[in-house]
Amino acid sequence: MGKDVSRDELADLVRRGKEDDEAALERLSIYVYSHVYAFMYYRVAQPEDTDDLTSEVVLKVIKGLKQQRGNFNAWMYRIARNRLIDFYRRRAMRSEISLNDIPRKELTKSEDFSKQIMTREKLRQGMEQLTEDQRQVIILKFIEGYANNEVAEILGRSVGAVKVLQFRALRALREYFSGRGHAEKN
Amino acid sequence: MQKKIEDILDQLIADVNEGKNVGDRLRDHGAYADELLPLLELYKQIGGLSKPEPDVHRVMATVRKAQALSKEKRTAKLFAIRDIFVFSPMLVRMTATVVLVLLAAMTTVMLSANSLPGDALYPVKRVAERVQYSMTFDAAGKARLHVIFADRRTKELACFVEPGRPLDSGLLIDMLNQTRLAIAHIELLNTEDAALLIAQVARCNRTQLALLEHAKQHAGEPDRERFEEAIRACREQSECIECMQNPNSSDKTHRPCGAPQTRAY
Repeated sequence: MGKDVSRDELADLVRRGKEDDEAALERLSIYVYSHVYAFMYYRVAQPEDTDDLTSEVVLKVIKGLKQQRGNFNAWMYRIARNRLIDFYRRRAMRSEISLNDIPRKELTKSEDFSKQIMTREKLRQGMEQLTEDQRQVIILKFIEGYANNEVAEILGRSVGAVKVLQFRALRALREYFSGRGHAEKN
Repeated sequence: MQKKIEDILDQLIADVNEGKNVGDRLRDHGAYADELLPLLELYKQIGGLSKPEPDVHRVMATVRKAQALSKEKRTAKLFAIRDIFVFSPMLVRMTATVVLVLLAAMTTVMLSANSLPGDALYPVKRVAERVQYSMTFDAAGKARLHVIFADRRTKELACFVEPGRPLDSGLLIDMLNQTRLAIAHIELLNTEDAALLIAQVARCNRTQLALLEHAKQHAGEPDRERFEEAIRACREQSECIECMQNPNSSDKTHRPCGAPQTRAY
């Protein structure tokens, strides 16, 4: 669960939002924006794209709220993920290049990566080395602060699978930052 | 059983989050220590990053859009029924047709209420009676309808009893049958439900007798015999009604009048 709204508060907001309570819809919109923004931030390079995509996801969530069933966060991130896939697909079609052909920015590599100063930009570049699920684990657990069971619920995986993804994601990032070659993908 | 490295890493991350010193724990997992240490360092660096914060103006602009969208949805819901008709002329025509047909049917039934045998609307009146009867399911309701129908047939017959006019024997039979059926249904009811209906059918029966006596005096030879038969049947019904009115009477000759002898609805 995010740190700003408890699980019960979120359930109450969703219930009231479904009943067209304006105050609840406003709070829910802000909640979705702040969480999806962090999710998008590490996935797209341009800040304008981050805002546009986040805004679209918020509107989709509000529009489809009455049909929402089950875990709200899982549903919200599923919408965000689908929108992101759609964004990359369209962009690849426009520029007539595949996703794999998008050039990755290289960092100045150091033998002792721990001495590097980690920035959000560096992390974003490092995350390009990861698989989709590994990226989501890093964002949901390390950036958003969700517990293992909540991440598992959102991803639709077991807690054990989340631990494996977490280990592999960190190892891949470490290899990338220490310049030891390409990351392992599961 | 040796713990998996991903479980150990997860436990160490939890310890770091709780502010514990993980040095000792790392030594416990000597085989993995070299691999786990840099991962924990990396985790601390990522965890140390501040969460990206969106621009407040962009957030509020999106909130306003979401509110407008929600308002639009509510309005759309309010006008959804109207929209069905606006965007579906076929449905409008069908609804209008059904309403018109129903109105026409109701008007025709109302107009037919005072019709007499031979009128164009008289068959409508009889069909409406059949429908009303078939839609009535309780015994008291059926008995009440037979009384009403017997009363109607009596009034209709009264309009046709004129010197020189031939008798409508079908109408006469209908009148007697309705009275007989009314008595038969009333006999099946308990005393409380039956009392009022007995009084009504008795009044109807007296009117019928008076009408038939009067008609017989002015009737020609062939009709006079029919009227005499009808009067006899009517008197039998009177006896039945008297028995029902005085169930403790000493006259034991009363037999049930219930079994209908001619067609019923």
